[in-house]
Amino acid sequence: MKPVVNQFRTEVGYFCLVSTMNLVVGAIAIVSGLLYIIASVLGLTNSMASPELRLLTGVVAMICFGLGVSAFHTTRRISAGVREVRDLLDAQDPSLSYERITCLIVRMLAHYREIRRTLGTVILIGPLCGLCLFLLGILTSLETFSCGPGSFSITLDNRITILAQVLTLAILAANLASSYYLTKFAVAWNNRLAEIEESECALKASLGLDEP
Amino acid sequence: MTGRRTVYEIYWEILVYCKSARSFTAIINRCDLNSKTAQEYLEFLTSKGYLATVKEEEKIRYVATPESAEYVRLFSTLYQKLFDSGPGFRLG
Repeated sequence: MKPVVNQFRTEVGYFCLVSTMNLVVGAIAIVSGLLYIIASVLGLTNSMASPELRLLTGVVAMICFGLGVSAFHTTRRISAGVREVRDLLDAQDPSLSYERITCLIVRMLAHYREIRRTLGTVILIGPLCGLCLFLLGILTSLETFSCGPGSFSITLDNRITILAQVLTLAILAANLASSYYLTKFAVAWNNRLAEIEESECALKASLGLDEP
Repeated sequence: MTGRRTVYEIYWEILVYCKSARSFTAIINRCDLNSKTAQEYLEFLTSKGYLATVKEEEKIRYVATPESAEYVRLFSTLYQKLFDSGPGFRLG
């Protein structure tokens, strides 16, 4: 039984870790989006090359804010039930009884059936959120840009670029990583649900429900 | 317990909870069921001989019979087998 407890505990722990990462990025996206919206509307970012660029930044900031709110809200919803299971697991004696661990597995499966669709949304929104933050980083660091027939040139402010881009790239990488891990979780848990459906025949027979 | 459960999961929960005699109210509270569906589940389990009714202080209580042990064991084995393999990655 020990490997089952270890595997279950590890998965639940990692799920909480990944969802916390998503929550943090969602919060960063909300704050950044809000700040950039205000800055663009009020024209506080004087360094920006043109009003068009300011408008574009405002639009990206609004999208970033919306995605941030959505990522934060949906991640909070999916992680609440998993955190409950993790807290119950942590409160248990290390030598969990056979029935107790099954009870927690049933609880986790019941929660997963509820969040299955929402998890798909989180997997999709996460990287988009990171991409918007990355775009905001690029737009902010643009000093000049020109666009002509057959030519396109941009000048980036080096002072801001290095730090901001590294930061936004790190956020984007974190988001892509969390989406990757959440996808792995989703695949594993979908397989488990499929396995349960298959094993229902055995349970049915045990209950004598397949008798004519 | 909240969330979407299958009927087999609910049967298992009821049988495990009724290892010692339980009242109808205690069962619906613990297993998060409404009284109508709980009545159906209890009637089914009783008809199959997995639950028995006992009268204690003029109150009817439900208790799991030894026949239910096979179902409970099979259920636990099947559900724990799900964790023979994980998502196939390590975070740390």
